[in-house]
Amino acid sequence: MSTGFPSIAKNDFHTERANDLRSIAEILIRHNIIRDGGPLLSAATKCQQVKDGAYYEYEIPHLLFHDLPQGVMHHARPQNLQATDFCIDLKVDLCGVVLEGNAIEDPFTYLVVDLFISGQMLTEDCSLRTLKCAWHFDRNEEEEAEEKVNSKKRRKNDAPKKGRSPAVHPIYHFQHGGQRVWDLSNYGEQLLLEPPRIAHPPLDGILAIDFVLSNYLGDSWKKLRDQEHRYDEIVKEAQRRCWRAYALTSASLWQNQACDGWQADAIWPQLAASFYPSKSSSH
Amino acid sequence: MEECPGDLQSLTAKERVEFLQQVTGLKELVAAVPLREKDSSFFWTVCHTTGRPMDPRDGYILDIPTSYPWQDRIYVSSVAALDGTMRQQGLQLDPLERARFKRALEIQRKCVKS
Repeated sequence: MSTGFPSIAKNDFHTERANDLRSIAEILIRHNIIRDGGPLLSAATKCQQVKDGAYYEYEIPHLLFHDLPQGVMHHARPQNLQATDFCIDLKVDLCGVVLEGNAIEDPFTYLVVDLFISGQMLTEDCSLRTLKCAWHFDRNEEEEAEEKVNSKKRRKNDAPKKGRSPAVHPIYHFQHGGQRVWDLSNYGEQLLLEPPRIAHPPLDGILAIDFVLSNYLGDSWKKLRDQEHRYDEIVKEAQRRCWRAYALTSASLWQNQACDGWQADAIWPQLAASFYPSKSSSH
Repeated sequence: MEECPGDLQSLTAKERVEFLQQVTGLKELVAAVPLREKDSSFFWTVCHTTGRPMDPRDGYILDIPTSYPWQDRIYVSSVAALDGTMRQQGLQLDPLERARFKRALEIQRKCVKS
């Protein structure tokens, strides 16, 4: 079946990743889950602009999911929202490593995923008030990152980084908040702190979209899983690329299996210090 | 460009202009402002009615077919949709946007009634 999108032969890793993004765009549009596939198509184009064959990069800027289901808004706070147009804005920015076969190594050198949810609430005095919610997911930059080819530069307006705190920094983690809620004019009764940093497997563009669908658009997510074989294939391959090494490394301490490429305490820095007697507890 | 702090669509208008001023030396460049104070400045399209730059988040897709799926969709700003300008120009929203617009219109009417 012709998708109407340009047909490109699958002949290398970068082209395959680009094709995955184009396929996801076509699937999401066909199921009316997104209105505009432009951000995914531009990410696909960028993915194919190969600067270094050992890495792949793309950025999905502002992929919009409208029409949050009533079930999600029903349990929201403030309660009884007479709300309009709540929308999820997903942004993904990554630099990934082209890994061979079954390598158990960190699949990314740079990864940022931002979920920004906003909409308008009708207040009791019949004025419109904008409400915002944000979640931030990223990969910690390591001191040795400079040794690797990494074209991503930390922007000056990133969330405040006033020196690394002694609190744990799992290499891949979620935090409540993000740049777009760091500078609000009004926080109401809510307090935003940087911790906790909750460890979570890495999310590339495909898995970030699946995360949004599975958490916020459950009916659409189920429909895709049941009816779209291609969607399932793409997600499965993304999970293999991004989660296999993470899962095996996480389990390595209990499986008497050394993982030279990656250390479990990078993933779970809360692991007891006695697992690593030669290291000082520096988290 | 290597010096660019990120994908242009991920930068605000102010950040883009700062970068362009830096690399081109054109100090007279000025960042456009959103149609409404509460609107975003992550401009990536223009309002088909007003011609002003807008973030797709702050508008609706029009029912104007494109020849190919990869062509940019055509947008109208929420301002022009809600104040009737869009209708005066004989334009209609994409069918998938109409329910969302209707909800916004109902909310606006409640605000006006008060």
